[in-house]
Amino acid sequence: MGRARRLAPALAASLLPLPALAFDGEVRADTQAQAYQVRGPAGAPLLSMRRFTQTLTLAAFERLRRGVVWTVRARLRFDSDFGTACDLTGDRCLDELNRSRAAEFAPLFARRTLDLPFAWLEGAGLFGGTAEVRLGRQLVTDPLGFFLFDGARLRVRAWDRVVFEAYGGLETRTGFPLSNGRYERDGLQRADRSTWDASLATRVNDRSLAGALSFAVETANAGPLFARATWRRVWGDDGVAEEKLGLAADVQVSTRWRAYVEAVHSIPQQQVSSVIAGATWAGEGASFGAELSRWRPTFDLTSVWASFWTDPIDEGRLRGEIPLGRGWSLRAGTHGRRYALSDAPASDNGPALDDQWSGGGELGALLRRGRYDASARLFGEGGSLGARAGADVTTRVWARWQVVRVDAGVSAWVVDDTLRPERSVASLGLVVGTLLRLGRLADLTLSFEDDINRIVGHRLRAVAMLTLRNPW
Amino acid sequence: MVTRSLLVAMLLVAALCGAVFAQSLPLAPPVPPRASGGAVSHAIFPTQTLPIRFDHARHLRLGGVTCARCHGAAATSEQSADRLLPGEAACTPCHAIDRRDPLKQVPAGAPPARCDACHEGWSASIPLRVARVNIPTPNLHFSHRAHVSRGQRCESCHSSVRRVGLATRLELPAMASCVTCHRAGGSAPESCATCHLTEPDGVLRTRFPEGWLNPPTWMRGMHHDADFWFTHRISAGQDATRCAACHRDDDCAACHDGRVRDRRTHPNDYLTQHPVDARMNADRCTSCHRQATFCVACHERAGVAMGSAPAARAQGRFHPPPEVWSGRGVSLRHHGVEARRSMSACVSCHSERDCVTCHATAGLGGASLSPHPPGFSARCGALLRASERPCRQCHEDLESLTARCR
Repeated sequence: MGRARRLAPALAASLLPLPALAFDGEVRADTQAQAYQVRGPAGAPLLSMRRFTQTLTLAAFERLRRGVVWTVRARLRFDSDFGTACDLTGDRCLDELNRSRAAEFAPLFARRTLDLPFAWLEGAGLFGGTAEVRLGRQLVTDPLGFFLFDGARLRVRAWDRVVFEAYGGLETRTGFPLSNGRYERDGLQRADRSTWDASLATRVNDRSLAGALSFAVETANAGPLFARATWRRVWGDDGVAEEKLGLAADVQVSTRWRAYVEAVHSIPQQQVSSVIAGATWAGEGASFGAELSRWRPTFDLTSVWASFWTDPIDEGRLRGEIPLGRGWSLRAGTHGRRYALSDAPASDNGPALDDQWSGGGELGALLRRGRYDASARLFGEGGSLGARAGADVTTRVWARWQVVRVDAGVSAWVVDDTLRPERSVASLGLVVGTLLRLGRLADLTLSFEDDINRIVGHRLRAVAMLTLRNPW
Repeated sequence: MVTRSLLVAMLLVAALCGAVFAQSLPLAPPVPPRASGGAVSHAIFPTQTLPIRFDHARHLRLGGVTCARCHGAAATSEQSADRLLPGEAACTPCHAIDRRDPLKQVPAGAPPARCDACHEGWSASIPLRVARVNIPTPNLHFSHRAHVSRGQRCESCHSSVRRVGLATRLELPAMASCVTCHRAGGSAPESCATCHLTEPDGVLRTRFPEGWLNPPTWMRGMHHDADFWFTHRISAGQDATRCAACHRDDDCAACHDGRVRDRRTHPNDYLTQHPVDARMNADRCTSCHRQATFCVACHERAGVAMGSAPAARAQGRFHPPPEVWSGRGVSLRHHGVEARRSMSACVSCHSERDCVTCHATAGLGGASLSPHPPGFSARCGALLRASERPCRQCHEDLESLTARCR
């Protein structure tokens, strides 16, 4: 009771209107137009893509006394694909949006979409700087991966060293207005089937709402240590779609050394879906890192994929960057992967198998000197699943410092597709582009790419992007 | 249920241990000692032009010469834009400068008085013009007065001045020396915005004409080196609030929403090589693309997916011949093996119905070919309790299945 009496004035003080110290806002618009071609693996059909993407980001911030800041931030996106898919041998273009042509109907292809990647209201610095609340559509990033939902998130700092976080709401899923479901876990194809005939595209499931709840605890102000434990559950009409527990820790052991570890456990599947452990060393301009990981794909628990046999993939990576002086640095990395097929014994469901392996490496030189930025890279990766190797050289030069930049690149690649040898190919790629800074508030980027290989001949790609920013 | 309770208990114990451990930790992150100080950022302290000959070490060895004697205004300076270099008047008490005699000779051992003794590039042909010293305003908030009034000495931040001739950017403090006081539980505010310039929404300003602000190497993997585009997944995944000091949601969505092609991960002619890359590294793809939406939509149009229009699919079979791909003999090119090692690749073209056709029980028209891993029956109860839907796709008799899985 006494505690409640002490909390009441603090609560009232935080909720009372405070005099505003400053009010600011920002508008940002990105316009992107692309045109390129894609050919099917057998050479047909030909997709002639004409894509146009427009995003509009609005933000407003009000700073109040006692460190309280209220922020509204929203992004609206219009994405359209006016391209056509044409069957070259049949000499006609497919009609993917025409529901009367059941065989050609491709329900996951949308010619025009309007979605809201995020839109939230946030109050920070509440209760003497110990609490933060965010309401609306928001993206969470943590060891469990990205998660986009409509709801509320609360973060409270306690005892100065620990932050408790809770969030809940509705997962943003495919098929609902202003949703694209990009961050929805994989497995099921979903769409709004309400306007289709029930016999059409039965492989696609109808949209369905899913609730989400998560709790997390993490360290704060713990100097060299950061640790976070998080639990999340997503459920809908079909049951639990996800329930995971994640633990992560990151320690700056000394001024140079850092170590980190991360593990995610899928509770209903009773298996670890990923474990990562690594260490890095960073000095003046030089850095090295080593990482070991085990990963197993996880899917929506309401899909059959979640109960299928998947074997883990183990990976080891080494990387390093060394300065060579005068703006040059050398970068190298190598990795090896084990597809752990031998972990499972022979059973009625499948025979005993040997592991499969892949591995690769990269060697590159980078130049960052004044107005010049260039890199040259050799890359190779191969194993039982195929191979690819190549080299590329790219340059960026500010013809007029911070006003006009010219980009150019050339690359050569060899791809060996072991599953489909006829798709093995060598290719040459050329790209040129420019960035024009139109005053402080606008950037225009243009690029043109030509990829040449024996399967497609020339594949051309042109991209134009205009970015406008307007703080007020 | 027991497993879940155990996991929750483990989580609580881990959190408790973490909190106890955190309480015992030193408050300050390990940072380089002040003497080394780390690199000085060009974004914070832009390149200077110093056409001057001056020896700090020599002057400071002279009796009575202190920092304040030449930089008297420093102790009361409130802004980083304040000009704190001494003017000629600070030199004349010792240097007998006479502008009417720019080549003035002085007795041996006396401080020189010629213009070119200090001003590099001075020419007798233009005697009253000297090259201009240019020290751009640092891109940060700083009050010398606030620091001096709290007892900080000049050497606390500019320790190497006593050992050098001309003081350059290298004698300015690196962030490592600031955080000895500006840290959680320290004697000075820990907020980044105390010193760093911010955008209107409070996010740190990171782009400057002189370069961009890069976190220091000792800041728990936040330093953006050449490999950061790959390694940032750990930093961002674990401590996203730290990223939010400089980045907004827009920055994540711009790349991870799969609408804009990133050329570092998708080099030239990536469309040709993406099947091989996806088969080997499907986990990388999922950081920006959802296979059952993004990949399927394109594969259906291109004639690759099972749901493609027959006219498009007729151009050729995507997988190896049926006898190899789904025959009785299991080779490494069998679809069962391919699914075990790269199930994500399956999802990028197929719906679950494609699998159910064969893997369902006979009662549902399938061939009762179990796709489950060995030992599945020991743990299928938890999955069944989570959702019956996937079980129903293949199993007719859910009651007996429930009994078996329990």
